[in-house]
Amino acid sequence: MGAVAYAIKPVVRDQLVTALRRLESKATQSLRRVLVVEDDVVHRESTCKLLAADDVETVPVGTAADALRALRTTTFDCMVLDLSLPDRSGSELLREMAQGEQYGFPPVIVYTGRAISRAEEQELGRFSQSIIIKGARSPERLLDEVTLFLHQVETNLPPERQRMLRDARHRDAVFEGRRVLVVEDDVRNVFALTSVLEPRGAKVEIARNGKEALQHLKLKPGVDLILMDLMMPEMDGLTATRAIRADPATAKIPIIALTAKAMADDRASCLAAGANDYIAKPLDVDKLLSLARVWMPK
Amino acid sequence: MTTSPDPELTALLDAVYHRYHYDFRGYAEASLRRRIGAALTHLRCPTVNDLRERVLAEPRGFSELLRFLTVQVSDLFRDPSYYRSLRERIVPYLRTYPSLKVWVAGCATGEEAYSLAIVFAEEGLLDRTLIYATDIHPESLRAAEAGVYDLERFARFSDSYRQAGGRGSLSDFYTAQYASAILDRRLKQAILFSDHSLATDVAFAEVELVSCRNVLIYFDRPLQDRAIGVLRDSVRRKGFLGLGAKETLRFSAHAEAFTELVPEDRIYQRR
Repeated sequence: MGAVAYAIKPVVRDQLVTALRRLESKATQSLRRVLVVEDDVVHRESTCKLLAADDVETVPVGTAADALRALRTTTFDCMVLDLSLPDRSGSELLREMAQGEQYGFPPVIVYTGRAISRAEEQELGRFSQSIIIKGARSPERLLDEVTLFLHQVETNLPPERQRMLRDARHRDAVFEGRRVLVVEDDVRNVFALTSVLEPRGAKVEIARNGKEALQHLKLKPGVDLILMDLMMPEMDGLTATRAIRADPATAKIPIIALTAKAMADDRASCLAAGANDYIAKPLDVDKLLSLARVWMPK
Repeated sequence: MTTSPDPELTALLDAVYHRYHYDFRGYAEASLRRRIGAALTHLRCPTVNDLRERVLAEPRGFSELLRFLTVQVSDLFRDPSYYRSLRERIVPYLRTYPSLKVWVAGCATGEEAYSLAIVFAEEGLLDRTLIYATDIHPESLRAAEAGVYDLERFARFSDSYRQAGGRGSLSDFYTAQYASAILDRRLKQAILFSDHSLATDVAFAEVELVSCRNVLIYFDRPLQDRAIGVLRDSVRRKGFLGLGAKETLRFSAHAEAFTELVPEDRIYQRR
């Protein structure tokens, strides 16, 4: 008799616990909000339909002004942005969002029907982690990317970018008004470096290879620090470093090499080429900041 | 490693690592033995210990040994169905990126990197694509960069190209001269050849597609896991990884990071 009761009880208890947990998570799980900024009504609706799910609320707007209004009053987990808007361009909207402290800055996915030049991509890359060109398979990728961002929120890893952009206290006298030339063709690193340095008051300038870096230094002298990737198309980092050292006008600018190589002689070759220091990839933000503090001219 | 690693072999690999910083210690022992056996004959060394001394004494000897340890033979469009799947299944997704990066890890003498460049050119993506092609062997990299192959191989290459879904004629992409053919400059301009070791280096860029074919088969399990970790760190989320016909992620420590997208052609998608 007793045996029967014991056999049932734990099962019932387990079921109860599971049910309670489910309720609990339903209550604590907030609705995910996605802002869809798109001027074309048909596209806007189809994007909203694509992203619709039980726990996702899409907020459609058709102009930059409406987008800014929404960002002032509501917290979004993600924003899908078409670049052509009637009242201003998508990149103008992004710049405005970055400047105004009153706006939330959710992860932005640029969703555009036209091809994008490298320069545009670079510019947009300062604010947006993904750019999607519309086409046969683009709905699938849009769904993938939105899901990734919403999942990031779910696991309580707020995107670094969001935190950095909001946190004005990060401004730092060492970096204030300083010009940092990032010579790097990896968009991911450019994004990471910009997110870390700009909120601290530095101005990040970008060259995609050694050749562009040399040109940049000639056209816009006065750079305070150079972060130099080694593996780049056209002209690699070691060659560029040697050239910078060889020119009296640029010979004194501190250079920190970014390297994916682990061997002692790889590092030695950075220093031999004229770099002041090096940091290994993947970049450790804190380490990079302390290195930059060490080498930034006072 | 196997249960009883050969002490002479171990000593040779240790010496190579410490002196020249090439790490073959995690390579699968059976294939190493075969390769070193061939090197012994060629370099006229009676024993592995003699070879070790020779390699330590003269860098030239090392460079010759390296050739035996690393050279892999490849073809343009080797395993045509792999390229067909890339073209039909992966390229449409890649089109949604404003610019693209591809990494050919272990490019040997360049055939795979050029094959990909040809697919991308035909699909209208080459202008916005940068292909990194890396290897540990400097001589292979030089040959890859030259992009010159024996003309007699091109009949086979052309067959494979067609089976791979080529849209025109392979001859659109090379110029034949005497007994060799040189691949087009516009293909080369999209490729950055560079030195990189899956055994010792880390990820250097985030890419949309990594193709690493017939490299992992030479590694033992711990080194495979290390190498696949580097590949995983390099592929952006929802990006793609292609392996060789005899390779799989199934037993890897990183299997969870990928889904099998085209199992028959060993194409995976990063989660």
